[in-house]
Amino acid sequence: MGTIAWLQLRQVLGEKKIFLIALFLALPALLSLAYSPPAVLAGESEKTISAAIFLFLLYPQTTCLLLALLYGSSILNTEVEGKTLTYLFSRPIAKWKVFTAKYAAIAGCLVVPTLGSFLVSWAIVGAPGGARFLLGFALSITGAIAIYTAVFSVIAVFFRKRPMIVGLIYGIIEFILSFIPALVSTMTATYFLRSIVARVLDLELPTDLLRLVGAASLATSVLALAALIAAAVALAGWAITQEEFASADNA
Amino acid sequence: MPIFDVGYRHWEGKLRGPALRLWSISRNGISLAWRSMILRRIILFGWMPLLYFAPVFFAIGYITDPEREISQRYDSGWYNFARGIMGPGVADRLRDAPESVRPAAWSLAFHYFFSWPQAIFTMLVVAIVGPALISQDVRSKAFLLYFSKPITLGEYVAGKAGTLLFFIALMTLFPAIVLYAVSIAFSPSAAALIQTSGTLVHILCVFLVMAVPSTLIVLCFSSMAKEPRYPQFGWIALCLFGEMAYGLLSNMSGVASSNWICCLSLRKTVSVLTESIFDVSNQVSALGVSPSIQRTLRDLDSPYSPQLCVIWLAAVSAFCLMVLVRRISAPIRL
Amino acid sequence: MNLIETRNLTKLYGAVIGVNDATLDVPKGVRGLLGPNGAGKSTFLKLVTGQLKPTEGRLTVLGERPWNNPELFRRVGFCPEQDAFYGFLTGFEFVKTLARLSGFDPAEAARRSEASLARVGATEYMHRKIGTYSRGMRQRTKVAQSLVHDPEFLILDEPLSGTDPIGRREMTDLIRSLGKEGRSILVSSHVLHEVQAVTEEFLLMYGGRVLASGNVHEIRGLMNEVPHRITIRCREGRALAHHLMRVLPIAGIEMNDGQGTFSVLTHDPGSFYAGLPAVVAEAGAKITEMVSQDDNLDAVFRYLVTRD
Repeated sequence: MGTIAWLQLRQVLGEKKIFLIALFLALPALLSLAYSPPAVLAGESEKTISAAIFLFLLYPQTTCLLLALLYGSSILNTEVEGKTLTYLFSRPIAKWKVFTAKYAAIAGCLVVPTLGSFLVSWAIVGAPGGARFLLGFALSITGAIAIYTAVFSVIAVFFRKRPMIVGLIYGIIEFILSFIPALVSTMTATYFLRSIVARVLDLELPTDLLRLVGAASLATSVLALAALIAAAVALAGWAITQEEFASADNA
Repeated sequence: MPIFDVGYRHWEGKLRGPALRLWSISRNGISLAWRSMILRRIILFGWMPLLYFAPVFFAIGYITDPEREISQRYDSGWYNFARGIMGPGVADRLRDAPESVRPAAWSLAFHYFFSWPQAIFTMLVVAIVGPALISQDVRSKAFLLYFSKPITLGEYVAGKAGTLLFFIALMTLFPAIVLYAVSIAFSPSAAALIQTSGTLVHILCVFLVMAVPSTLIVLCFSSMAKEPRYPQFGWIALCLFGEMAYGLLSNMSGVASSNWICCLSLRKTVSVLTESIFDVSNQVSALGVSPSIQRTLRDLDSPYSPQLCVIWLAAVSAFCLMVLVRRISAPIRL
Repeated sequence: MNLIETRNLTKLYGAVIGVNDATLDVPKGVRGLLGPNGAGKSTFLKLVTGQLKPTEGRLTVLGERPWNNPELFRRVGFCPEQDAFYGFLTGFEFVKTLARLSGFDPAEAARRSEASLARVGATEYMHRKIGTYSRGMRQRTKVAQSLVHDPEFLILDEPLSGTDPIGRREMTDLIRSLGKEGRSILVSSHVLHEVQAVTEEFLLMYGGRVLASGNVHEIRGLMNEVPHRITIRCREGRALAHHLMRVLPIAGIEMNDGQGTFSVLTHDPGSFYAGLPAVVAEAGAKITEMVSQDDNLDAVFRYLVTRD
């Protein structure tokens, strides 16, 4: 599996488009230059909350989701279209291991530069909240990349023709559902990602706002995300063993 | 017995003119794209907002009908209710001259129709159809096939653009025309046709504002890659990231009231122009809408300049066209 | 144990038949898989290599089912037809990566990769990126990756496609030498003489069906109802033909041209050849050329395909 992960890393890092991805990661930092908390928020904790909202919407909600969409939705499709998947599936290594190794490589590859970009943005907005802020967002960003890459990878296995579109529709629906103040919001990954930030920052919010932002405990959120990721990877791994990836070309 | 010539028959017809060549390219693109089940479903869903807006227009027609009793029934209860909700200006007009409310109400409805549901569905349709239009030709070297025929660069670009314009029209222009027809049908009299005669022109203008920049942007992205997933991602990122950036900067930045912020979001830029084309802001203000309603209709109270939006869209379109032509005219670079 | 065993093996792509009710046993050895484009060869190979799941029927390779059975690939090496690679890797890295996937540690994988690439004659350029390779170089690298783990059964899908005549000759020699080492090889091709240069045992596919399996001579011998065709060029063509008709077991004679070339059709080529010298001597003719056009793959293929 390590070999597959290494191969995937080389594939991602060896692409010319990596410069465009680096440019894409610079955009949030550029946007952060224009950040300024609303004038009505005078206190330090309120400013921290404002910065947390700004950076959460910018990173876990948008940047992480988009990067995961690009790479997660093409986790196998690149190999299928490039017809190199045959080499991986004609070796004594189970198909689900191939998928898992590729997923781990992609998720790991995305986390590091995204955290770097976040660090720059955090510094630009005034480094609010200190180490706790960094920890909360590090967890949330890592979780966001892990869960969204897993979800979009599952989508890519089941919707091989238009995975990015289906993933986009999923992302829009999940975003909307996460703001509905009802049980349905607790079934979204976004809810737990917000909860992580809220718990680590120890935000004091009114009850109704807390329910909207994320009322789950830190442990619950981390476990829920881990369970979702494991379930998504297991589902995709199982589906891959049932799928045929050779086409009717040259039959 | 006569012997029939069953060999090769030379064609003796007339060659069609160049105008129809680009239609061949578009038609081919349309039929290829149409095979996508997801696209067909999104188009189907994209017409669903008509189910919501049609009753709205019916309600407007019903309320603004001077023959209806409801418009005469503005006794103190109804009148105070209308004043409280909409403001004294609108309530007075509904009582005294209900038909005068119609243009503003229609403009507002069409503005929202284009700005939200159709904008989202158009984004999805463009994301499905656009990215592969040129990138697949690059990948499969179909350039060699196209340009071994008497097709000019402009015809090729126009043909490809025609494919995308068709689907964007399917999501914007055609449903809007149907909605307009439904609105006329639900109006109390044919006088509505005269009163809203400019609406079709406005609809066409909004279609062009939505379609032309989107088409050029996506074709530009498509010409820069061999795999459709990168232009697709570029388009999705442009829309989503731009929308998020606009939302954040308009609420949480020192430049919240700046004129240029709306340019970050393609949807918002088009929305500003849609508002300007339908002249929503002036029409609604002239009705005497209450401040609370105006705050709700926040889009209408924005500092954004339609002129800046036009210049921005034109500049982006021109830039994308330039890049597109440069990429296509040098296949060796691809 | 047979190399491949199938019982009513069928593969459907929707309404399109890829492989149609194939029942056969393929013993160990070097075999060619022949058929025109669209015959079902690649589908059959994809079934054998576990890339596709049979729609109906049963298939075993080396006694095991290939679908979802990655362990089988310790004993099977596959060289696919597609010209697809990880262009950012060098040939050596590519083969070594796949060797690692076969379970070898880095040092052993490197050693085996070098040996495998040397075997196919790719040592000179193995440290260049594959993206810079010519078609023939890529083909050799593909064969190298299929050999690196020393499989007992090698499947080569169109291994000679895209190679120049020298490369084709070298590849043919390589395949023959691999066969002599005791490996079982299945070589797929739509070019009959390429396969004939490697082996005389073949599977013939057409329209998704396996039409024949075995030695080309045995198959030809079984085609009794079709007379053998022997073309003779001789200055005294008409006279010799007249003599042959009188004496030897001949089903018919076709005069091909006015220059003395004619074709003899006979159901008993053995007796014909035995009696021919005497007839030629009696007729005082001088034969300048004689070709038996039937006892080769082209003829067998044409017969089986048109008969079907």
